[in-house]
Amino acid sequence: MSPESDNSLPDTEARRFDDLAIRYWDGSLDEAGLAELNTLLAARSDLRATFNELSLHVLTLAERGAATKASELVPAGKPSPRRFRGLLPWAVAVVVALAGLTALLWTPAPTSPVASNSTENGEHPGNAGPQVAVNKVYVKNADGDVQPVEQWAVSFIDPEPETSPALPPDTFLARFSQPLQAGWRGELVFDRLPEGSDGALRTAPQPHPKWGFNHVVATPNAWKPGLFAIQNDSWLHVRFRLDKPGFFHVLVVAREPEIARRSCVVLEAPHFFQNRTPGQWHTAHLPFAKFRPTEPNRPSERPLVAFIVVFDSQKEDRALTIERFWVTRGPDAQ
Amino acid sequence: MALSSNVIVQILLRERVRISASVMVILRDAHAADDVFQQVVLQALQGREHFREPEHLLAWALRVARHRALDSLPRHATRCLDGAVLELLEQQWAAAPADEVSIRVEALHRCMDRLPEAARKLLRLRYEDGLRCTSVAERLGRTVDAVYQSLSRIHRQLRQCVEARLKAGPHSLGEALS
Repeated sequence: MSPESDNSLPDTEARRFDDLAIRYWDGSLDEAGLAELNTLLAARSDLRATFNELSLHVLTLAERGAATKASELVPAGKPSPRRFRGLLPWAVAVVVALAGLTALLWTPAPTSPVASNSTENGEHPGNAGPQVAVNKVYVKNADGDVQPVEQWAVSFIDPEPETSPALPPDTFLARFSQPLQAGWRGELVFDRLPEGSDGALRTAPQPHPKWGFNHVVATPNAWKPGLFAIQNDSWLHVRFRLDKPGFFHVLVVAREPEIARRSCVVLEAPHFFQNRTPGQWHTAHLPFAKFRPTEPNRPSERPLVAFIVVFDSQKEDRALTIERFWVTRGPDAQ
Repeated sequence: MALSSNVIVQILLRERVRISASVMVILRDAHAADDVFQQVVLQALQGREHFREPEHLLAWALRVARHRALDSLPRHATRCLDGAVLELLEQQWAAAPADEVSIRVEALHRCMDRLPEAARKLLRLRYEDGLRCTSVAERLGRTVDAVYQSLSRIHRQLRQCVEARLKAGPHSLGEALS
């Protein structure tokens, strides 16, 4: 695209071209106007550059609108729009990338840290309808035992909750192995794993309304059951690798325990830096007390129910890879 | 050697904006443009053994996107630019440096954020809400011609703002529209 071309046109001709272009984009240009526009564009490369620039404006504005609308739909499709209007741009991106425009399809996550007796083809207690696949997810219960539980890769329309669900467990562990559960964002990789690991998630590009795409690893959206409860003394631990120097964000999207209130907060951790030893595994331990809402006046009183966790290296692909992350009460890491 | 599926997806995602923008010229509908983009990605993966160079893939994607957009145009029943002009526009998209489009988009977002509220409202109604200019005029109590003129002026301001930001460099992005 070449630089702004208005200066090379007589003022009236520039205005005429702009007017034709605006009417074309509006779908209201008549035959004579279309012929005139075709002639101008065929003759002048600077006008073609201007026209392409205009198409970039239109696309960008439309996608901004879609991102805003998507943020207003999350998490359950019927929140008050005012509650979501002020989300920061990257939070909108999270919403767009992770919840999608439909925002009504859900992947149930475990509601209890205790392993279910279900088998891969069995019926999930309390859930009507077919289930398609089961993924292995490890959850640490309150006694500190790590147990595999199933997550059901079946989508359904979420009915209105009749009553508020109980808080999810306040401990959590996510590890990765083949096959990757539906809803996770990232690419399952097996290279250069630490000992005892079955796999890790490397960032995958997700569309971003500002700069094209972000590179993220993220959990499924577990709005209704929640992933884990955030208490005053909760800590997040993450084992990660960055192949290139730089930082990444940790974002936790949480709601109030009273699900009917549909009020959300995006919590942001401080940046993690890894400048000296790229390519090596590191474990970071962060108290949730250090996480801050990205927006003032958001619910932040504990407990909160985390329903999405995002590891985001933004527009730079630093080959961020998450081997596991877990949540504990207090700083004790396993 | 043929490009792998992962590389193809990465390249097309990187080039999503310019492919979608080229489709927008024909369809003038962001959702329809996104549909076309996804069809192009699927088609590229189906024929992945044919792609050996990223430039080849981009040129192919732009061409296929144009054809697919034109194929779906009758349903929209709106007038469209000549095929020869579309091809010239497409060549211009293909010739842009790989990272220029994303830099422009970022500058554009910043410029949009700095527009006066009245201008932002007009853009919101027209492009984010998808209203035609006649509806926008009704909504704002203005004439359609006045809406056309305002939109022309705002887009011109945005172009000038983006150029100013690009000339000033990535760290002096604040004042171009003031």
